[in-house]
Amino acid sequence: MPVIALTRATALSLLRNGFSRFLFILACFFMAGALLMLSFDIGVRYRLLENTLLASQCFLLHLFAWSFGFDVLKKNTAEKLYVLPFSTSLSARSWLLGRFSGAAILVVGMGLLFLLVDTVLFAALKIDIFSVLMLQVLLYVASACLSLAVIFFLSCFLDVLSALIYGVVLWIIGHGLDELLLLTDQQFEPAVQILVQCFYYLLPNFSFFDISSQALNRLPIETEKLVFILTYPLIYIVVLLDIGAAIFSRKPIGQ
Amino acid sequence: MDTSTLILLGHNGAGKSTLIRHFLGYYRRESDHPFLKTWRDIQPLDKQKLGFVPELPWLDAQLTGREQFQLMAGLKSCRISRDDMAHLTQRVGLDTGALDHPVSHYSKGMKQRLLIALALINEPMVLLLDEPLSGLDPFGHEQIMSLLLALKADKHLIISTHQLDDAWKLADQIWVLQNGVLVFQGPRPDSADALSQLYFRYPPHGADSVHRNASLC
Repeated sequence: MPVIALTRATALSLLRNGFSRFLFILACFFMAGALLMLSFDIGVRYRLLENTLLASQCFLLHLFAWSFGFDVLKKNTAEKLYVLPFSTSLSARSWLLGRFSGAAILVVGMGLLFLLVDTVLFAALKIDIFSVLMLQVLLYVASACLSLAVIFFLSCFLDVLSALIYGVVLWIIGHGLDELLLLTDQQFEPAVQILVQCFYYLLPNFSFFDISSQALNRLPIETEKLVFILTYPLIYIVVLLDIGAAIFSRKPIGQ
Repeated sequence: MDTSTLILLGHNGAGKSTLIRHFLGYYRRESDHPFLKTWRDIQPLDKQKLGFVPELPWLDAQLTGREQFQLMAGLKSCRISRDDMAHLTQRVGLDTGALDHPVSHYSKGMKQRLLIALALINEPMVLLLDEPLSGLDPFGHEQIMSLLLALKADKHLIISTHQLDDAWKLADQIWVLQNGVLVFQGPRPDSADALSQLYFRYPPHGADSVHRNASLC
C-alpha cells in the first residue's frame, strides 16, 4: 500500500510539472516532424518515416525518463520530501520503489501513446503493422526505464546532477557494448577481452534493446532472444533498486 | 486517557531537532553523530503509534491537500475517506475547500495546520512537533497554539520550541539540551519567569565569551 500511494503521488506531481508539459509538446512536435518524411522515398516506401519515428521515439522516451528521474530526485533532496514519509514505518526499499514506479509509469504511458500514434498512422498509410516494429518501441520503453533505474541507483550515493550525468554516460556506453565486444573479440588480447566481457555483463547493456534493423527490414526475432531482452531489464532494475535501497537505508534522514 | 506534554528546550544547535529525529529512528545505531553517544538511554519511539510534524512544510507543493492525505494514509497503510479528511481538516481549523488546491497555494499557517492534520491520520498516541510555532504571524500563532492546547487533552505531545511563554503554557515536563547533552529533566516550573531563568542557565558553549567581548566594545 505505501508503494502504491507513493507511485500515485509521484506520477501526479510529475504530470503537473511545467517541464513535463513542455516535453509533451516537444513529443508532438517530433511526431509532426517525422510526418515530413512521408514524401521521401529511399527505395522502400515509408522506410524513412519508420526510421525517423523509431529514432525520435527512442530519444523522447529516454529524455522523459531522464527528466522525470532528475525532477523526482531533485525534489527529494531540495524539498526534503523523504522526511515526512520516513516518520511512518516506510522502508527504504518501498520508498525507492514507489518513487521509481511513479516516474516509470509515466514513461510506460508515453510509450503506449507512441504505439497508439504509430498504429493509427500506419493504418492510415496502409503500412502493414509489423509486430517487431511495435516490439522495438516497447523495448525503448524498457531501455528508458532501465536508464531511469540506473539514475535512481546512482543517486543513492551521488548528488542528483552527478547521478543524471553518469546515468546518461552509462546509457551511451551501454549502447555501444555489443560493438565493443565484437571489436575486442577480433582484435585484442585475451586480457582485454575478459575485461570487456566483464563490462558487457556487469554494466547495464542497452545494446540488447536495439532491434531496429530487424524491425525495419521486417525480420523475425527468435523467441529465446525475445524472452531474454524482456526479462533482462526487469531483473536488472530489481537488483539496482535493491542495492540502492540498502545504500539509502544506511544514510541518516532529515539532515 | 492520561496524557502528558514534553517540551524540548535549548539554544540553537543544542540538539532538539536531532533528538526528535532520534525519536523517529532516523539515525542508525552506529551513526557517527556526536550527540547520539550522550543519548544511549533514549530509545526511538514506535512509529506505528506516532505522528510527526516537521519544522518546515516538507510537502510536495504540486499535490493538493486531499492528495497529501491520500499519500500519508497510504504510507500509514490505512484508508481515508472524504469524511475523514473533512473531519481532520475541521479539527485543525483548516477550510475544507482548501483541500482541492495545491499546497503551493497555502499560507504558512495553512501548511502548518495541514501537517498537523496529516500527523493525526490513524489517531496516533504520540505527536512529535518540531518548532510548530516558528515563523507564524500572531493570528497563525494563536490558532496553532489553541490547536495544540486542544490536542494536549488526548495525545502525548513532544514539542521542541524557542517560545518560552508557549512552552510554559503547554508543558507538563521540560527537557533542556545544551550542546547535545540533556542537562535538565523535570516538571514544569511554577511560572513562565522561572522557566525563562531555567532556559538561560544553559547557554551555548562559548556564549559567555561572546557576551564579554561584546561588552568590551
